[in-house]
Amino acid sequence: MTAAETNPPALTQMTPTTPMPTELKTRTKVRPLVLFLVTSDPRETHRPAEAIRVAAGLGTWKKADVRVYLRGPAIRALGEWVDDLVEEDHFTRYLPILREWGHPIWVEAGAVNAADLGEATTPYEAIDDIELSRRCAEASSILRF
Amino acid sequence: MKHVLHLLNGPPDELTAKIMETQRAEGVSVEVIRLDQTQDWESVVDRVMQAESVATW
Repeated sequence: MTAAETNPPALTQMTPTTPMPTELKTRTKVRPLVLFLVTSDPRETHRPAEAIRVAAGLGTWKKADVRVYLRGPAIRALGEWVDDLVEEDHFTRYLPILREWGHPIWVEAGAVNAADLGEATTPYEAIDDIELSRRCAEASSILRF
Repeated sequence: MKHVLHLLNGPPDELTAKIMETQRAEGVSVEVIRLDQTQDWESVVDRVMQAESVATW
């Protein structure tokens, strides 16, 4: 068994795709793309936890392709330690559901909080603001929390 | 041309403004409705039903 197998990386960070394809590779054409855009601070408000809960609940029905984007302090939701976050059980309960969907959580590229995550619990992909704008335009619906 | 409807409940913040600006620059048709300034809810519903993409901020 290799070192990589005994110590698999808990964090999978992908590099942004440049240029952005006009159609997201992860999008299913027959289903609408619903994007949860989370910018609030999970240490101060329940809104990020609620976004994750609603995203998991909505995506489970397979009627829409659900994606989550975390920006600024909201990135803490992916962290190894969520004890100090409001409604922290939502993160431990519902993020694994998002992880099972097989695509990464989108996060703000260069976010200062990324270094504070420890071992992130869910694979993520860093995207810059231009990429975010493109993906927003691809979405059928955007919900901001 | 891709058409995106942005529903705002107040003036756009920095992120919202940046996204709209970038979308315009990339040739996206951007429509903005200020929900806090509208009385014509029937029109809002009509625009939402017709939009390809709806962003609620």
